[in-house]
Amino acid sequence: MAAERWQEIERHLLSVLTLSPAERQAYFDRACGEDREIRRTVESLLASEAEMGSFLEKPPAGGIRGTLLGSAVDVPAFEAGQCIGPYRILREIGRGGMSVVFLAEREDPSRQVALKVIKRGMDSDEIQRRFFDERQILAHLNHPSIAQLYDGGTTADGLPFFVMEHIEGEPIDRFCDRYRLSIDDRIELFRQVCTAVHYAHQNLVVHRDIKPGNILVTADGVPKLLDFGIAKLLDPDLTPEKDQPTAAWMRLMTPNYASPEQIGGGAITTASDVYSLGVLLYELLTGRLPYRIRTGFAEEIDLIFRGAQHVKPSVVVTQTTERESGGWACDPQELSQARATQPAKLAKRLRGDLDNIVRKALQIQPQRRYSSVEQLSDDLWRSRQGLTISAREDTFGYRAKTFLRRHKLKVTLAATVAALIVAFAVTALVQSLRVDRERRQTEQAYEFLIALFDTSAAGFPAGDSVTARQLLDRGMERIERDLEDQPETRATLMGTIGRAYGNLQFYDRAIPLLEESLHHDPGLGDAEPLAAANLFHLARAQRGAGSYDASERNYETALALRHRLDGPSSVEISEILHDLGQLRVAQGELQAAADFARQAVSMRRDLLGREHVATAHSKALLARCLRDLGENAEAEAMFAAAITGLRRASSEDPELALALNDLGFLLATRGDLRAAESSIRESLEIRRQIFGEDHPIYAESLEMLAFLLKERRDYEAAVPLLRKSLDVSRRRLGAEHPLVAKGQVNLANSLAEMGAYEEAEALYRQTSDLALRLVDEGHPRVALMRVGLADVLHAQGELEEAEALYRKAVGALQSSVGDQHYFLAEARLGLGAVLVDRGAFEVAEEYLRKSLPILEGVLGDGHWTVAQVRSELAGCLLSTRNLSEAEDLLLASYPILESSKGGDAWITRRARERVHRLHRLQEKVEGSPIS
Amino acid sequence: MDRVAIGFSPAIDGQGTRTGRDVTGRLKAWQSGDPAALDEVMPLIYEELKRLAVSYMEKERREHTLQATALVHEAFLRLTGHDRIDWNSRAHFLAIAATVMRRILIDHARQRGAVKRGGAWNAVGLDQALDLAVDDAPWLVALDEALESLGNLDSQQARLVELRYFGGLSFDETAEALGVSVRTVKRRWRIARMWLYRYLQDGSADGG
Repeated sequence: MAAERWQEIERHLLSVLTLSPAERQAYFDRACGEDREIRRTVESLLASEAEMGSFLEKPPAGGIRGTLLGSAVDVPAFEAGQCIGPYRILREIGRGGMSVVFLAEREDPSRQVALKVIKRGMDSDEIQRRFFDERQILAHLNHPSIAQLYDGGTTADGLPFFVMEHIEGEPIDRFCDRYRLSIDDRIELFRQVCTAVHYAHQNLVVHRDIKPGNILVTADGVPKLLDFGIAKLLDPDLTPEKDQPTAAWMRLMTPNYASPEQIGGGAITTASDVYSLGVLLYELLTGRLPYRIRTGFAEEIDLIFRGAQHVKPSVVVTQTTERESGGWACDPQELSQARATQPAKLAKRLRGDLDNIVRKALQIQPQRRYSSVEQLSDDLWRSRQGLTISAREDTFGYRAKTFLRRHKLKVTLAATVAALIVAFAVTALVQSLRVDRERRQTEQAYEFLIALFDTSAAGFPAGDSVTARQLLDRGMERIERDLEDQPETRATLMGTIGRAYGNLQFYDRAIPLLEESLHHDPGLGDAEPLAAANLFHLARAQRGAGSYDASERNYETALALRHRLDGPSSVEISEILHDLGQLRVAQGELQAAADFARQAVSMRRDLLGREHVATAHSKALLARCLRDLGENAEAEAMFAAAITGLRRASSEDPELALALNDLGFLLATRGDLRAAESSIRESLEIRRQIFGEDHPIYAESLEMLAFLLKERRDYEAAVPLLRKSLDVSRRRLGAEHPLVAKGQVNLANSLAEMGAYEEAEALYRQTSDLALRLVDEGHPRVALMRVGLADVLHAQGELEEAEALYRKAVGALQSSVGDQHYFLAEARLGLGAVLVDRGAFEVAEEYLRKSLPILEGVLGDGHWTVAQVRSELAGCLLSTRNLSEAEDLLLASYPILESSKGGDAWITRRARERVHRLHRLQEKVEGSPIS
Repeated sequence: MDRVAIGFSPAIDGQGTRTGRDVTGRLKAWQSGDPAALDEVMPLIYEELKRLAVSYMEKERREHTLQATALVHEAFLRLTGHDRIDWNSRAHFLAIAATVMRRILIDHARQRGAVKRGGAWNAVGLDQALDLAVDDAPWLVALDEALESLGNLDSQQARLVELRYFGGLSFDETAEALGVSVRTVKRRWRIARMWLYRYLQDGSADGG
């Protein structure tokens, strides 16, 4: 094939790829004409599209690291015909990081086997000894789905080797994809694997290294597990006295399938295999791994195992993800094809039971997983039969509650005192860090902690400034080290320190501590207030970290506990109600949020008084809900009331800054940019004082300021501020955080307005994926993101995709925020505009007319968005020749667009074209013989 | 687009000043279009990579999955010593790393023999799928040859596959490295996959 020929072929392919099969036929007839050869080539290439599946989408097997290690570690050279013990080598069949596998033959009786030689670097004597110890057990693993281990020994060079049943087969994930097994068939195959693993567990053998490469499916469709028990034999850290794993072993394993306790060096049990099976199940169902470990550095692994949630299988299969090193590309269409179904059906099949089963298998704490592989398999079977499964909910809250009720408090007096002191010290620290004027108190607290935790008094380098975080870390270390034999005291202190971490917004540290404290402590029966407080703080930390479902459950449990302790109302109850309001806001359930906020306002007003700062806090929350519900006028008044109360209490309160920030946004929205700026600058200053400049909350204020600048069309100033802000948020919160998502959307929005469509589009898409991992599909913010993306696509002329997105958003918003909300009005504006361009004038007009009064009401008559609706409406009317109304609309909109968005803005240009068109049409009418 | 400068900071240890300058010079020559320049330094890079991979394996347990690109980066950093290479962007560096990674994988696969043309990957027995990783050596060699053929038709297309498959670059990164839009990358990636698949299946992509 010549290069020119190829260019022609590529051109045809590009055109034809977007067409349906029927259209393709017509295209070929038209475009290729007599050139049969080119047509045949294009058609054969098209055929490969249907066949190729995930071809090249997975990274090269073994990868660079494996290759480098494979060639770097001392490799024994064995040639065909050479003998190892009684086995004659036939040929090499595989090679990995630590071993080479040969096909070999035993003469008497004649049998082909797989012979695995372990590379140099292993202590052969030790492995030999262990093999000898274990071989009775391993040799007796007789199961049709387990590759039998026959023998072991050392080569003449002293390298250990194992002899196993030789299996011809294909790794289970490849097998499933190649034969396009349905979900049901995949589960059936997976359950056969479970049966084998369970059998081994009953024989006291844990596999320790379950992953697709170790499960081959034969041509008859029988799965065979390889290497049972080998992992343990090779574990250099394992000695009979100390049946503890396994730091060194982990170096050689891929962590993707390893359980948290394997990675963290904890005890390996059958539950570890349950976890690995959970990962395998997730992969067979969804085509990807629950957690993508990109670098494997400690921080990343910690992040994953400290409460980061995997995306539910039913959700993840609807997402298009890109390949990254170590992961693979997934497209809902291809994915469902490989499972012999369609995307919507696939998601539906996974929703509910399978989501829950996977979640239970992948619990971080071993004791919260399935207690046996058989149970996991059984749940899969029950789900298939429509029976109730055991994994219906994550019962942590429930368990914590019953657990706490069952036991008595057995904390020594000394420990209680210690806890109080830590709590005091931490509180004092937090306060003094914020306002920096209680130095003496800090020093006192510091001394307490030193005395308590560091009797050697050599704790910190002299002259170093000590942060609260460092103090807490230090305290934690001490607790771990010195209180190992006092579990109750330890749990109590963990709770205290966990709460302190939470107050400082180190959620990743707070959550596991609070969980462990609640979970572990066997004696909190009489200490319900303490349990309620810990649950409350756990819920709060989880909310802060974005784990909303878990947070909700724990708030509810804390609330129930509190009601039992306090009756219908108390300050603590009002605190939980207030928090639940915040949680509902985050979840996008605005009406429910407003209800909680109202309850909190009235309870606090009755208990604490109208002027109290806590009452003001709840008012601010209520104001925020009202704003999001589109009740902007009421919200503005409520913010003003909250700000008065907050100012009275302190001029340096983070809540005050937040309320000022939100009020500023409202003012800006309705076009009062001057009042908005003074409010936002005041907020910015307070936040700088309290948090410093390297803080996500300060970053949020920067974003607001950028928003004002953007409204003034000063994109040159706005965009760098937005980038700076995003930078801070990402660094402090990690890439997967709601605030990061928000920052990205704001940046995308500004980029779109200044015309940088490509970057805006990429950012919107990236953020939609992120948002779907954080909140449900139906969340209003997700819909707004779609509107933003659709706007960008529309501006780039991608009408079809834009329309689809607008429609999705309109549908979602109709059910989430209701017909009268201005979010919906904005989505309808977008949909209307795209329909104008697609020539569907009547439908477009209907959407635009519905949108207009609502936006007028919320934003005011002079707002540019309202002008935009009028301009689009005028577009419809010009096409239906209603010139006089079109003229009125353009007169009322074009000047506003010109002055607030500038002459070059896309929406202004559209209005200008309409003005020209109107003039042409008017001339035609006036110039025509009949007037 | 954000351009993250990846200008190399001075190496951590003082060694390698002499080889450093050589490597830097060769890499620069290669960047400015001398294909043989990379061949000259490849053995050095390869040795350094092996050394690093092993040392990481021996180090703290969690560091073992160090990403391949990070390995290549560190190897370059050590080899170039105190010299600086001014990569234009992160994407540019990743593009070079992709070539290095392709070379390593393919060289290694070739060393292992089993070189066949065209439809070789179907002939590879499934029983090779044993051990810790599936052995793809013969397949990789076949893919490399297919990629050569594609490169003769359309060098950018082949480059794109190298970046995506061997370098593990995302669509965004690929687009940046090739200086085309993400949309274009996605479309051409699809076509390149189709072409290569057909070539590997039939030994040619002419549809004959």
